[in-house]
Amino acid sequence: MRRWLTRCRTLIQRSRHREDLDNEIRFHLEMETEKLIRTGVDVAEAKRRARLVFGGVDRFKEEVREVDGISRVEALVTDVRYALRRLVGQPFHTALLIGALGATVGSSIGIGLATLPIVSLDLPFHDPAGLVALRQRTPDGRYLPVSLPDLHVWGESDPGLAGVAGYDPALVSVRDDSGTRFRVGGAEVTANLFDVLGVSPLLGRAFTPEDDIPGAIAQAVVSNRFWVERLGADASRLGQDIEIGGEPHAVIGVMKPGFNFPSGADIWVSAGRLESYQDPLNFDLIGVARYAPQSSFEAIVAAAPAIGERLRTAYPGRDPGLSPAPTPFVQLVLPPATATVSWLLVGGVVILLLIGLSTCLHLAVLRHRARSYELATRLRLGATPDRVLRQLVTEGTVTAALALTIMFPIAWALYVPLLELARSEMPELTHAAPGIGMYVIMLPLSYALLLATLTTPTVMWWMGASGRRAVGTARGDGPTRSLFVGSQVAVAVALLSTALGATSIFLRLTATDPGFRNEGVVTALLSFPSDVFSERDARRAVVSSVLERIQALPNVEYAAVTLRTPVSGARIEYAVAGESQLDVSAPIVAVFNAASSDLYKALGIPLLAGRTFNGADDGSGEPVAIVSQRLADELWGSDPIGRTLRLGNDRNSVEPGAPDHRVVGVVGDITHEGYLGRPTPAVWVPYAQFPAYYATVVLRSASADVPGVIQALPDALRGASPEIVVDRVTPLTALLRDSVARPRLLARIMGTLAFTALLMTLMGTYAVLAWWVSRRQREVGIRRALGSTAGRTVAWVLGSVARPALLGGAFGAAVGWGAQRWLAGTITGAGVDPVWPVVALLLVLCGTGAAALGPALRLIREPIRRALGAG
Amino acid sequence: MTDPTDVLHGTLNLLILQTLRQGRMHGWGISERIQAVSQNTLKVNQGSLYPALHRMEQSGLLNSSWGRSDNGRRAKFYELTELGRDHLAVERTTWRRFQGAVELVLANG
Repeated sequence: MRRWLTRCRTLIQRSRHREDLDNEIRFHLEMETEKLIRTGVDVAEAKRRARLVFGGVDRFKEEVREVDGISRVEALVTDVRYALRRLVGQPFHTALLIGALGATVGSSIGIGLATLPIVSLDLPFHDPAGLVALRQRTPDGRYLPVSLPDLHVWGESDPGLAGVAGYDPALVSVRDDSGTRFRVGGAEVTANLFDVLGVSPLLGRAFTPEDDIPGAIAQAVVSNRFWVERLGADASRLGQDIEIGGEPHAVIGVMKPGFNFPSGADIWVSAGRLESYQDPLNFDLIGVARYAPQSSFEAIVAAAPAIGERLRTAYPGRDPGLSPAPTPFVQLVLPPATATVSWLLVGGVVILLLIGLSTCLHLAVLRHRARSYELATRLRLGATPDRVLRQLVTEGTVTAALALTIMFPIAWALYVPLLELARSEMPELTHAAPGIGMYVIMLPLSYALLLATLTTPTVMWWMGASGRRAVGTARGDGPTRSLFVGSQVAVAVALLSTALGATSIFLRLTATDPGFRNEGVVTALLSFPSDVFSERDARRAVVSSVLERIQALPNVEYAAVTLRTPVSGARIEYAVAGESQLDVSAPIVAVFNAASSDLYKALGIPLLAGRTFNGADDGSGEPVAIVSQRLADELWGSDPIGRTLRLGNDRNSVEPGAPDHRVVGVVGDITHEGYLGRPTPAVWVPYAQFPAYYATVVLRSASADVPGVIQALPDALRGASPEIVVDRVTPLTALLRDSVARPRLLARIMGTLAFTALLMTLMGTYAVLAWWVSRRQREVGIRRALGSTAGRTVAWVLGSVARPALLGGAFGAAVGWGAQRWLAGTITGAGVDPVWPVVALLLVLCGTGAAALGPALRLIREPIRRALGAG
Repeated sequence: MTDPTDVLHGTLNLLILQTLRQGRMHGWGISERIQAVSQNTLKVNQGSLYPALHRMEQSGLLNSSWGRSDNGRRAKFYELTELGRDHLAVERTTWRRFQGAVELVLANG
């Protein structure tokens, strides 16, 4: 430490150190001279001998300065000054180089940082890769949840599992302080779920094994969001009761911010205390387990058949066709398209970075070649290759530092909005925040990248000049420039073509007719708590009252209820059979729904035959149904009105004893997954004949005042009964928009990547050509002096990039076409349009031409005399 | 009298430390003292002396300060630090072992 302090002090007081050293040596020489004089030598001879005995004074001074670390610092200061003088002396080239470096690497880093949370599968729990989902599979390959006793068997039988937990996601109704009931996402969980996921509460405690015993006290853990927004972050509420599902629960803990698992959950209650979960055939829980340190996913899969055998032995009533099916937990909780999006993003960012670095490298090569005469002269004048290398590396270091000042604002300007966009489109990322830490970590990395790129040509030269490695003779700029332009154009065309394709797929999706009209439609979810609305008549009555009140609202044209809207993302599917098809082994599967009479008018679904439901279709009336055109065609082909159909209890079969439903109407086909779905067979029964504990209100506003209707709706609904839980009052247009959130996010990010790639290519082409042209001023001056016209000069410059641009562009278009096909198949299953690679090719070629035109025009504007004087 | 010999490579630090054990001294004084004590047998290469002194100062073995020499001139004086004293003890032991080993080889080799 002391040594470093001394060295630092010496460095700061360099001139004083030099003076001290001079004085010290002078004193020594004077003493030696006096000693010699005392022996009779004359003064001049004594001085000469004293210096002779001492040796080379300057060499030893230099040696001392080397020991004290002064020489290196002074050399560095000199090199930095020299580098700055050179950079300032060539403002055009400096601006070109620093601008290109900063912009290209900055955009890559900005976009790359924003994609990190997406590609790193940033789930809000510890080591997601160490978790396995435990479910069971039916013979037809569908996955089902498991029962709580199933999970106990897993935990007891498989030594490869360190902990086995389960959760049952559900919407739960909560009563706030004003007495209003509202619905939030929640889950009934086993007491050890948080332990298995590796998360802990911020306040209070998680569940304990005692909380999981049947009949235990009702308790709840709440999310940080719920704690802040609903309980006012009031510490005194910890331990107090809130009403959940009509039952008071003591709030025992608050989770950390960002933990809302399963997706959107705000409340967790213990599942084990409820009797219903003790039933071995009640398959409601999704199992999640953590591998033991010595185990692996493959070992868990290998143990599954034995677990199945134990389950069948322990619970004889079980369907023998069900088999335990462990899967990686990450696959379960992240949507399937996420991996594809991740790969696309990683690929895009890497390509961007390569474009940026290739521009920088090319500029560095050009700069180095422009100095080859200077370097050769310096070597001939006695400079060592090492000394020249040090100077050039210092120059690269200064240039890279200047580029950083541009790079970081650009990176930040892209990073923050892109991350915000990703967060708004992907609920899994709501806890991701702009990480200044990550941003700072990128500083040395990006600096090293810039420095390495800038100094690569210098190091190659040094290796040749020092005889460490034979370096080929300098080639002309032509092949390098062609390779550069060709590869950049290829990449830009490929990316732009993919982005245009992705955008067109997205636009086509949103232009698809879903079979219903969404403009002016408002929806709201209703729940009828079982403690108040246990009777079917009570639910019929409250729905009737709800409809009357909504109809009475100003500007409401039609009002109806249904179980789920076509864009809710969840649907019930039942096997359906016509009266003559009960023996069909593979029944038709249709989306099942219940509706009140005006649903079709409210949603603009055309009535093709028969009638809609009416007042006679109540609980005591004949069971009736309305079918979609597709279902009618598949069941009977023609004349469906008056025919009867039967509904199964699941997708697999229809029991012979199921009641007949007489078909009273046929309506147009609709999709059931927003824009992403295909029209599917559908059947509706009257809500009055299927009064569930929940419903979705659907109303069409007669005016454009949808916000006004949204504002008035909750009070009108609660006016029917204060016990109704009202949730998600939303325009249908917003729900439809959400249904294409992922393709939209992909199109936007791909668009950003492609646009940045295009800009970088144009900038790189411009920079490289501008540099190249500036070194050719003299040659062009001679050509022009010999009679070459301005037009031929421009054509010469443009011609230098035309061929590689065309070849690279064609290659890029082919790659873009392939990528577009893959993208369409993977994300949406939609078709592709061959026009986009061609459009992308034309756009990039025009842009490259325009970028090359600038330097060409600059060249011909230069007076011939001045051009002839340029080196 | 024979001409003094250059200090054996690697022993300059030991000689400087040992010389400074007598008290603070300037560079020329150290050089003269080594030559005198060795009865004109050892001669310090004067040009190597100063890099060695600065290196030892950087290593914390010596401290330096400016003062007046016997003839009233301004000179830079060096003195041992505690670390320097410890280092001297180690260097002396190493040297004695080396010297004994060389003696053994000369006597029996």
